[in-house]
Amino acid sequence: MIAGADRLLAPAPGVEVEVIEGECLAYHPRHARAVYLNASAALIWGLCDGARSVRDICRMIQDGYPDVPATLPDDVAVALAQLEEHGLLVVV
Amino acid sequence: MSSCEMQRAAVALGADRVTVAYPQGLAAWFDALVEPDTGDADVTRWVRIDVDEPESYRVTASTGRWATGLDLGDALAAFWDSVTFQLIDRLADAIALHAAAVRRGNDLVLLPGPSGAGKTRLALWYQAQGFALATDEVVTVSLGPDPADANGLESAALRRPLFLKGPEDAGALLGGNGLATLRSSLGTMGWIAGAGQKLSRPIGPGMIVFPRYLAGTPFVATPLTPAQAGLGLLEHCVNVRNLPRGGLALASALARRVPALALSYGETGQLTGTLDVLTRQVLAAAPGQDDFAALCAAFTARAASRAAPAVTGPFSATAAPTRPSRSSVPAPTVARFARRLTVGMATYDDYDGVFFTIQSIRTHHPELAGALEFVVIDNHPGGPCSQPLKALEKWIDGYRYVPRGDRSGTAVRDAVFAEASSELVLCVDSHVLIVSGALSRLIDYLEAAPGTRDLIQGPLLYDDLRTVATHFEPRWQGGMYGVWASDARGLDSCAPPFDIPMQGLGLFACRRAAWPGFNHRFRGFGGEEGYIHEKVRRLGGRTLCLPFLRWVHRFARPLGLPYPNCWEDRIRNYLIGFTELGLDTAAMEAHFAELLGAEAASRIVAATRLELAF
Repeated sequence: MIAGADRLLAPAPGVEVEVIEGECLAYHPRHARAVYLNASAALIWGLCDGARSVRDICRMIQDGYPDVPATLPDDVAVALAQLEEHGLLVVV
Repeated sequence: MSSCEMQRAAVALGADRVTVAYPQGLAAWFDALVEPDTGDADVTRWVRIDVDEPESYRVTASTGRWATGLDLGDALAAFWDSVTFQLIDRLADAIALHAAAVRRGNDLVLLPGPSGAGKTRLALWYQAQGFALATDEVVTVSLGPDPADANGLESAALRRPLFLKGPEDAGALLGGNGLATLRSSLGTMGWIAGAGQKLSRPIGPGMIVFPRYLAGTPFVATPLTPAQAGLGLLEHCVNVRNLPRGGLALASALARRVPALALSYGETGQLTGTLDVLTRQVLAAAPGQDDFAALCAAFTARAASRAAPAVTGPFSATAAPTRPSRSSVPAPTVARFARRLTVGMATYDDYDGVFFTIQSIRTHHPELAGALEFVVIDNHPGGPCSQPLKALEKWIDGYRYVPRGDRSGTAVRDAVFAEASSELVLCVDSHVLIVSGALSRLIDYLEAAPGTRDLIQGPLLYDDLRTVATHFEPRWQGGMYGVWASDARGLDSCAPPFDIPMQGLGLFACRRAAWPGFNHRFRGFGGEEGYIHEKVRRLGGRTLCLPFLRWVHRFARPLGLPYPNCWEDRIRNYLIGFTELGLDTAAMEAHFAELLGAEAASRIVAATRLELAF
């Protein structure tokens, strides 16, 4: 399992989101920047509610999509890192 | 210091206005872009340009910014920058996009992009294709008052001079469009007469193209998901900080409702026959996401197939040819078949259409086996369909292949009559189906009227195979003379023939000897309907609808037209035809002036008149 698997992540305060056909447009007012999330990234971001750990998120995706590749934990870690980098997620 | 009488006016963007003032002597640079000052402009927002000395100007604005010692080009550039800034600085009820825009009918095509992306270049190309130039700088989009109107969106475009930043061909590009131009430190400005015409009512965006011009790159049209398009719009939004939620809702609303693509291209020649066709189809049909993606892929593939293979260099092991290869032109079919009826069609790279039209006739009109000659005029001999079209002569009784590339466009149908071996001729588009029994009845009808000079047509069946259009109403619409209409006398297929003013020429029959022919100057497509009908009448014939002669026509072209179809040819043909017949051209000229812009239309008319004078 990846490092930080027990971290709890939540949407950053003030981030505005529009869900458009499974994808997301997020706007961070402080950074005055819009971010596009494809369907996979939108799913991961949506599961970050401050109560689910990274491990929980990976398990939920595996339960819902049994055919996901074995690289899922690494893929999720990369996505979360990018979402944090864009200021869309904060550690609780 | 010289003093100049100052002109006061206003520049508008939607409902917002900025007061402007400029010397009377500079009116020519402003008059087409400003509105009279009616006193309702916000006087706290203003920009003015003054003459300090001959050839030295000063620009001041209510923002407190000013600049002096400018030449005219730099002064006008600074002036318009300030006007633009003030119009969008406080704009809070619409999303303002750094975008060019062109208009076709009630639709706006938005071209957002950063400076240098090629927005102005692309907008000028669209203008050459018959679109009206709305702006090359700022477009605002808001939710319209009536959500049920079109896509519920309203746009406004900022009228100001065009601005090309790349110096290498800016003057040629702008000057080639008949513009007045002026150089500044930042680039070349151009004024198009009639460009950015104030819209009499708000119109909505119909398509979004994010351009990226880079010389030498191939044409690629990449469809964007709504979320991707929304990101692009927000990236080019210039009033983000004024908008609730950073404009997210407005950008998302726009992206949800309007198809968007990212366009990479390396030269405008790649766009003709691809982007123009794609744009017209999208504006006409408002495709769903899957269909839009398929269109983009198809036109990207088409552009790739048209591009010449690159020469790989003098030291490569194999050198690719620099031109696409062509097939040799097949020989025409020698045999001739004088039968009861010749069914003829001209085709340009539409093998599928020819195959199914002819085979459908043979399959669904079996009573006419041995009674028909099929004449196929290949208007692109040596093209990809020529050999397969020629090969059909081995399989189809009475089939003749005739290569004719010397004359292109609609008038090549004269060749059907010239080549027909039978006295009676039915000319169809190469993608038409005819209801069972109709051809037998047509032959019987014509054989019963020997010597007739009539032009015979029938009701077009819509794709539901119930609704019919019996004729064209003789009026202008959408760049064409003739609008599909239905006469109740044609609803019963057993009803007798009746006179019609004109009809689409996807199917028509005539005695070979009675065919009047198109004007030999006709070129390309457009202008034939109405013209040929009037000619028939003047030669003593009638133009008739036979209610039983029902036909279906394939209109959709998901892969686009394989041949050029341009406004120049269409307007030219109408003018030539009307002049030949001594008809008044005023209504035609007024229609195209409204459709394409007065300058674009008058330029084509003037060129045609000059040609006709010799």
